[in-house]
Amino acid sequence: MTSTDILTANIRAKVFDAAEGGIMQAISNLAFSLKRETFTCVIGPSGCGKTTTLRLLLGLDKEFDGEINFSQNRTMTAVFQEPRLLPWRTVEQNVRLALSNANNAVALDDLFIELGLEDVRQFYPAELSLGMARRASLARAFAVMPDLLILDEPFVSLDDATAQRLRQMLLSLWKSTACTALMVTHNVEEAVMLADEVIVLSARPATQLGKLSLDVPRESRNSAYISEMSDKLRQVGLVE
Amino acid sequence: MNANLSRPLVALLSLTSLLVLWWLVAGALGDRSLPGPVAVAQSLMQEARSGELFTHLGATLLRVLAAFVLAMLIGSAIGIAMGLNQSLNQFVDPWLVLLLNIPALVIIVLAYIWFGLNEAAAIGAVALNKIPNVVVTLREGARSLDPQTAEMAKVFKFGFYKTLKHVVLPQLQPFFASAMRSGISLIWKIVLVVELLGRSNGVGFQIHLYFQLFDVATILAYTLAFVFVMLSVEYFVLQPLEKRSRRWRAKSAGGSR
Repeated sequence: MTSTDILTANIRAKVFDAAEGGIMQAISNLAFSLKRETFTCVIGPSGCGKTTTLRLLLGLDKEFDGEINFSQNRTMTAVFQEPRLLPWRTVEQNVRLALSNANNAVALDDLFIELGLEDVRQFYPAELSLGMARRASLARAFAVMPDLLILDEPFVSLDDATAQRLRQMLLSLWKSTACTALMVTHNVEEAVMLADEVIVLSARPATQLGKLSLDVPRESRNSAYISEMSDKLRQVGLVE
Repeated sequence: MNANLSRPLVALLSLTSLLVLWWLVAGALGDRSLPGPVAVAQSLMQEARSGELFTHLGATLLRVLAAFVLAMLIGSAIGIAMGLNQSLNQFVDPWLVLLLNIPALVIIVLAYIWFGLNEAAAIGAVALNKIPNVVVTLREGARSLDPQTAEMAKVFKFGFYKTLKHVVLPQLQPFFASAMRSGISLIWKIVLVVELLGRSNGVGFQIHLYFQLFDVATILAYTLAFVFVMLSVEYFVLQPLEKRSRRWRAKSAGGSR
């Protein structure tokens, strides 16, 4: 772990019990590190163990062979695939609940305005559209000023325009809070739009097939660049 | 006519016809074993005026409340623990099945024999009759807790107390409501038996007393008064509480987009 790394992971193996007493290996020799204040995307075929990897990083599953180094004093939050808001609490209560244990906090009013949630603060999650619920989930993750933000396909099953808007919101919050982001996605173009570095995983058991650094500033990544890089990534990883 | 509007009307009509039927049958029989509504009302007034009615109703209600709180606290603690811990569940489950199948009367008699004819034995026996039902209901609730929400709470470092208050208890709320409802209706019936067997006050004791005097009018007066009180508890305490805790559901039903 160098001084610029916020997290290093070396997962030698992660296995699950499968049917009929067998085992299923989800991850095999996956090692990577995340540099501070960078945006990393992870792509790979469906069911290759991307979500499993995130669960290990988040400490939700501790049964694996390997090490994950992340300083205890730092904050790690997550945006899950499903917004996972508490249905019996309002948007604002959901965000505040995440907030009260944190040392640093952003100004909630600004956060709600930035995410376009100022009118639905008192709404219950069931009253929100999927896009709004996803934004509320982003608000919750950013409210605590995370050092590391883990995102598991946060924009899946949104229409293109909404997804694009949410990506811009995510980028702007990521910049203003100076956090490090690790995002799993199926969408290769999305990875190229957002990331500083893209890690390509193999089919199960997940291992790193390759990675690609994207040095062009995000503002200058035009559609030609995006499709060129996406093709490159597809060749590395045989991703769909 | 609107179905919702007509419902209380139908209920009123139904109750009135029952009253009329009772009055007709009692009049036709002209017998002490079935006094008419008027005689029962007179007994009720008499008991109320002497203060007896309220003393005994109060004593019974206190026992119902004590047994109810005890059963809910102990039953939900055990039920939630069993729902979350598979080995504990496997170990305790046979006891539960046994307890569920022991008749209420046996538990009451044994409690009086082992712990004496006192208040603690009476309330304990009632609670013990109800605890297995609470355990079964809350165990079901604990098993249905959403693992995804629990993970969210862990990632955002909610801690024990916050997780309990904001994540676990709201999910268990329907199971609490169901346990409370069936609990109240079971407990008040058992409390009367406990009073009849070994207490010197309460509605059960009074019914026993007037049974020996063969005063059916007063027995019915006490029964009706108590049923009325318990229905009031259901309508004015339990149902509003349930409605309040369902606000987020009621609101979301109309706001889908």
